[in-house]
Amino acid sequence: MIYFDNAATTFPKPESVKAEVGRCIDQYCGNPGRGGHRMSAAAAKTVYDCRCELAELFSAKPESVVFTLNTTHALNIAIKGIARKGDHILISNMEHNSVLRPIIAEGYDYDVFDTLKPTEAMIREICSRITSRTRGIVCTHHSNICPVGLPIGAVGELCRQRGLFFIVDAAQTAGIYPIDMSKCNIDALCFAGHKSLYGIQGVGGIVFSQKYKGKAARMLHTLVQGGSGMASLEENMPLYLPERLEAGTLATPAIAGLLAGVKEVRQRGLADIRDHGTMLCRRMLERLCNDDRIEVYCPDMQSSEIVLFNIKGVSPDLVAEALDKEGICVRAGFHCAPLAHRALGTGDKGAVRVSFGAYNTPQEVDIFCDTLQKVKQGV
Amino acid sequence: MVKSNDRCMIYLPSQTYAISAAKLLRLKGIGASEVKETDSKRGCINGVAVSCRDTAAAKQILISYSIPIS
Repeated sequence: MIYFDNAATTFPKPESVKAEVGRCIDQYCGNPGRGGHRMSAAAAKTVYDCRCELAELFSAKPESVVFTLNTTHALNIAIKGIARKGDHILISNMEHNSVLRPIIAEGYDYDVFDTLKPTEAMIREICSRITSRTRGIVCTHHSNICPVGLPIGAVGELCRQRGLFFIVDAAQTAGIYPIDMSKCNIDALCFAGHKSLYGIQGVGGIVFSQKYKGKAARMLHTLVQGGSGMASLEENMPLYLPERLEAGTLATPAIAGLLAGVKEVRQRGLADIRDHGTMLCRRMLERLCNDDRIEVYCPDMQSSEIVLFNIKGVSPDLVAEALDKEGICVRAGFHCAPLAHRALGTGDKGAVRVSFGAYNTPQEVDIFCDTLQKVKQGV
Repeated sequence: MVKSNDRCMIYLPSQTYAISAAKLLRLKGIGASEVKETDSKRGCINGVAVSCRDTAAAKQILISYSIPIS
């Protein structure tokens, strides 16, 4: 089996992750923050260690790391926690539904800026869309369907100059690209634990800037209210992060696995993982771009872990199904990113996405390309 | 709040801050450790125990690192 759907969730997971999840369940899976006994304390210690590891990765403070279920959950908490009714928000045309749908559901006024242009032109367009009611920018760091990355440093600087909040969706980049919260002026960085940080499904998170340290966290609206393991007699959620936004029991085994995953990623090095993905990407594009029957989207942007394509005249779901029969896992359709597909012009059926992970090999790319030739003749 | 003859409790807003404070105080050479909370209003660890002799120094360190004390 060849697994090329790492943008959805990475597979396989490192041995250290599997071992730590098992060790947690077997040995210390008490409820963190819900008691003073040794099991609760051991679980809490691991959760805190994970906050520290993530804080180092993103140049933030451990107390500013809030655990969620996944990136969608994180983005909902961040957007609804920071934005207010009536706000005007700018988003990019590469956004996932986890950004678009909460914004529409909450009734925020929003505008979309184009990312398929040079950085300077993009920044000019963003400036032109800022109005007196604009309060912030929410954007992805990297598209989940194609090799388009956003210059979050430049966008963050603009937010700083204009006094706007800046929320970044790092679902596809946490663990691949270095992200410095303060250098990029990011207020809230949302990430997945089960993608490029190589944890298991069930945990994601938000890293908040120092703007929300201490009691300043009261500025954040709480999306979910409930048990926090502290201030139990008070009617409202605690004022401090992370507990203010972590109602209910955390996914301790998943957080334990994430801790091992982040260590693994940092040990191998983000640059090494990124270079590996780029190498696989270029290898695949060399073959696909020379085929007249295959349309590759954004073929010039080769510094990525994602290849998006269609076989001309063939529905992408048929291609994915045929590849699956050959033992190759890819994802077809719209990938929860309707704005991005519209921007790329993939039509009414979407496209086929190949996404690489740290454990894919050049040999797998070659097998894929050979198999695609066979599939092309069969469909 | 005095827990014993030679140990004092410094309360933090949450367990996260308590673990953070204990780690910081250990790094700074003040032998703090998380302790089992006995106040039923709190119900979980959110205090660090330090020597009574070190309480003032410990509080000063926590404040200088912007760690809130309850």
